[in-house]
Amino acid sequence: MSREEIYERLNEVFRDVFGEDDITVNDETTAADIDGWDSLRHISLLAAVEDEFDIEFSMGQTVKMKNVGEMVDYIEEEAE
Amino acid sequence: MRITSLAFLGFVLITLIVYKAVPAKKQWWVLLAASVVFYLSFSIGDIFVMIGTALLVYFAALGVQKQKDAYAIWLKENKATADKATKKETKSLFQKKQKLIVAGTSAVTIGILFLCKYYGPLASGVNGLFNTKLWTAENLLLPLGISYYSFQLLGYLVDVHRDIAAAEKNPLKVLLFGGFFLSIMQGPFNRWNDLAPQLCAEERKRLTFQDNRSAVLRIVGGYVKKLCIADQFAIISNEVFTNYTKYKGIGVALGIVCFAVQLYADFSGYMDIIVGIGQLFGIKMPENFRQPFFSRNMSEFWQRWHITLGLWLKDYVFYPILKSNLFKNLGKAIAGKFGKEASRRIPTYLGMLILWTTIGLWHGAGMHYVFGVGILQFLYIFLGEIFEPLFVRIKKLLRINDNKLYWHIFQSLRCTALMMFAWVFFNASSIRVALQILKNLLRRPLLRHLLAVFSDQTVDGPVRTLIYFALCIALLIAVDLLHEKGFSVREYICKKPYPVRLAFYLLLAFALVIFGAYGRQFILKDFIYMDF
Repeated sequence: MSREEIYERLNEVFRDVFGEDDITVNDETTAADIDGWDSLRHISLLAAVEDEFDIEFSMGQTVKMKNVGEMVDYIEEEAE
Repeated sequence: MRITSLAFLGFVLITLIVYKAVPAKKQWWVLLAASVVFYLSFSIGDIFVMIGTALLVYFAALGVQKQKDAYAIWLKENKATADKATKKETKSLFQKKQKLIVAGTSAVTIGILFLCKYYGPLASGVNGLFNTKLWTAENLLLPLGISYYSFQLLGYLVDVHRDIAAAEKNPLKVLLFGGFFLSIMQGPFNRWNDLAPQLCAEERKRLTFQDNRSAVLRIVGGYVKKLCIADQFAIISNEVFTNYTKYKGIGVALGIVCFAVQLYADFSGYMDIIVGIGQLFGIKMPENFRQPFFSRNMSEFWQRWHITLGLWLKDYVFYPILKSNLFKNLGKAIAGKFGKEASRRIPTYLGMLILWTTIGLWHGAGMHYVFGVGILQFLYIFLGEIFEPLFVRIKKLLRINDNKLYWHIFQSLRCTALMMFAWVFFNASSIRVALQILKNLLRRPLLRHLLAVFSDQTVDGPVRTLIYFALCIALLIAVDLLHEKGFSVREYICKKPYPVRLAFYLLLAFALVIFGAYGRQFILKDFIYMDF
């Protein structure tokens, strides 16, 4: 799966979780850039990403990920 | 050795001189010796509990690391031949062993904490209710800092398990991390990866004169907050909360406001002292406060108040609960019956309830803590979330613009009022007393009730004291407002020419001498969060 494909599907997940149709994420996007991305929504977001890509984030990744770029790196790695 | 004592300042000075005199590689030994001396100055017996906990965590972390290394070796040897399923299965096997070590160590550590902090009140309660004769652990004292070092050390162990940190080979470095004298008493909650490399650094950046100046200014500012504000406001809040039957209406309101100011000045003052001293040692400690009274809602308040506790519990309690199989399955079951949105919300709210109950319990075994800084806080945030769509509609109807200053002020005042209400439970000796205080608050407000507090408790009389209190509150708000705007008063003063700086130093020194809570009624008070 290419990085572009991952982003295409990831944007849909973000739009669904945060209820905003115009969200577009990139490597540098962080929680501070998206309204409502707080600790309460973080787990919901990760669960939705896990479902979409059939992967599982470990607790280490859950707390370590600094931006969407790192999330995509992990999805890419798992999808190999 | 109290932080507010001259002995502590002398201790810090001597430690600093020795610390600067030895090579960077050896400096952590100085910090370790200072931490041991500092701890022993409070209690000799308790140190064995801390050393025992640190050793337990040290060996557990090595055990976890051993399992990780064994899996890495297996993977290296079988990468080419093993299929994905075998790899996953083997990984899961090694992880299971790690989880067992982490769970066992956590059970022992939390068990000791439970025995020292919660067992006594629980057993007394059971004895009272069922007329039993359970051992009430009367001789068991709460070891100093146990709530802090237990959590911090467990955090390190979990970080090793999560691949965030590597296991430390030297047990004394783990002991230093857990018992570091600047954070042992009331935090902040440090993470291994942030603090340990600083404590044990082999090279250190040389501090400039400007760095030291800024640090000293922060320390002195912290003492001013503690001695000139917190301890002065404490005279009134202690009186109202202790002799709560005496005061009504406005007298009670004054006591509640005074406690809020006291708590903020006390805790944030302590943090200023500790972070400032850390700066002198070249160690950056995490901040615990970020202008909390400017928060727009309760979620934001807790992102700005006691920040490191919130972050610790989020990473080590809240997320693991939500990611547990139990909660995942719950989410799936809810999704089938009530839809996607409910499947996200309900487990999250349940997790929040557990989290806030833990926060309440962390403060103490009393139900007034569990309610005031636990369940009530959960209700604030939960109801805020549930009614958000309604609030949005009302705001639209009333044409309220979120970005307007008046609305921000209203939101901040609302948060402050909600926290003051919660702190009545936090500071009262029980829920019954808190309810009595709140009942008295609603009684007919009479000026004599207000005057009674002052005439009994203050040296200077009501008018002068009220003016002083108003000036203190105005000063706290002004400094926080400047920080909120990104302007640091400390850095500004530090860059000024020497005569301006000297005048400011003298001002602070005079403030400490004149307005510090000394004199006939003065009893040296510990910091509030030391009790937790």
